Amino acid sequence: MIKFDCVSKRYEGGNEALSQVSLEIEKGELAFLTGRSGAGKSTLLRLITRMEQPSQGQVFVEGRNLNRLGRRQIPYHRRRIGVVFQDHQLLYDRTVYDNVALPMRVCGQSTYQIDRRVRAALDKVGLLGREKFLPTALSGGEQQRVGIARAVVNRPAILLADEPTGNLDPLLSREILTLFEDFNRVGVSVLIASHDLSLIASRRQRIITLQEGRLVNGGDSVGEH
Amino acid sequence: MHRSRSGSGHQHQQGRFSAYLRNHWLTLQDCIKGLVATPLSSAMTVFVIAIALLLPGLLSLVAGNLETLGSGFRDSASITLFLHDEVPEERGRELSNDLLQEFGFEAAQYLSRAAALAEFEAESGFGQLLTELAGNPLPASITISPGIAEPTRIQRVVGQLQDRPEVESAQLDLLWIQRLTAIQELLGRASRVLTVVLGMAVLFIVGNTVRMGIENRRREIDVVKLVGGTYSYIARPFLYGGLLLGMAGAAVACGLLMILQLSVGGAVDRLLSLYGSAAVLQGMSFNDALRLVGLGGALGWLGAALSVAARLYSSPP
Repeated sequence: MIKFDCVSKRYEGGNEALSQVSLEIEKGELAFLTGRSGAGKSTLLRLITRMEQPSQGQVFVEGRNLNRLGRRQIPYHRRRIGVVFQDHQLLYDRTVYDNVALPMRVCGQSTYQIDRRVRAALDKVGLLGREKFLPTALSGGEQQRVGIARAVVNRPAILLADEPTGNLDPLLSREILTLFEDFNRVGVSVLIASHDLSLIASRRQRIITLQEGRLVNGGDSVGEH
Repeated sequence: MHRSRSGSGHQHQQGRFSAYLRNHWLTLQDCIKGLVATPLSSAMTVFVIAIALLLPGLLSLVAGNLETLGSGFRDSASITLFLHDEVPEERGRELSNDLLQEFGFEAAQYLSRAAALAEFEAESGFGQLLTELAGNPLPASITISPGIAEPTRIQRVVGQLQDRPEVESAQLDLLWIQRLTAIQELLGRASRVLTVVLGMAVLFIVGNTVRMGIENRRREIDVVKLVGGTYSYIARPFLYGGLLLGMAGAAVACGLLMILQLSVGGAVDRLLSLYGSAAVLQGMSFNDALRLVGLGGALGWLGAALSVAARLYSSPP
């Protein structure tokens, strides 16, 4: 599903965020991406969404080489990936409904479809009934859940999460994680970047560890943990 | 690479088209909301566009009026043919009628030598002094109102008339028409240059407004890019914005022109009547207004499109 082939990313100023990273994530897999702050987790995720291009090496998503992706094709690539951020990146001047509906509006879906899926997504994250609220009227945890609803509303094949539980208490974090596991169970490939080791430790899924841009652990999906 | 969604075929297609329309409608609403949210800034932009479009609009209006004026002055062009002394009166009158028929002039008036003298004596007050001194020096003449406004055509006709055996010389009073034509040409040229320059000004004005708008909505655009919004999806509200601003600016320009018309119209009419013209100031027609609004809208759209392209292509996808 996702494949990194000797990928390095160097930013201007000489900072090497990723160095010779090769890994493969199978379809339907759930994996954690860990490492300290600055280890390269966010960069890795950004390479998957084609927000960045590697300085060296190639990234493949669903068999597509992202280096060969034309400018016009990038939006369509991104529609297959749902992303959740630590700062959820919601639009404050729009209702919860409009925020969650955005990926579908962008695709030109019918109002009927949008209505159905948005409500389904909100129901899944436990926020049905809050459609007309503005994000500012919600708590941090609820805002995060809106972000997750937006990420999954279009039923993407891949779900990426960059520190999704960063601002939340342990109980909430666990709830969020359960959500991700639910999505994974229906076939979504999930990659969660987190430096919250306490959260990850209790899990039995694959853990990919980065250290200063290098892959230290968990390169193969059928490898040792 | 567009994965099609579930749903029965026909209903699905219908849904997609109405979704497309709905998208545009939502975009338009969104765009209007955006413009209204910054009323002062929008109003200023509209006003500046109005001023930029005012000048070409004014020039075109003036040019149009000069056309009418030209045809009004048509009447004041006249050709005077002086006949040889040997041409008898009968022949002269005959010639006058012939020419009238042949060329389709508005009027041709024969004045015999005797009549010319009598007229001269009456007007000048010299009485019969002239006759007693030198006989009658005045030639017979045919005064023609050609009813033609174009200088080149008149001159051609005069050339033809000059070739007539009876005609000794032909005199053309053409100055006014030449002046008018020269002014018209000047205005036409100036108008074209100004329209181009001011058109570019409108492009820049709208472009700048759009650029600022994009800056203000940077966060939103980033999110839209993240969820896979295409270039046209992002650009659309700005394009609509440019279109609306351009059209609004042109509408205001039309309003200003009408105000100008009302305040100046009376004075212009008086001026025209002093010059012996029956013409009256022609205001802006509905078609003219529509054309200006169309031009404004097109320029606004283009300015927005250029600005969006410059901005979105310079940043990463």
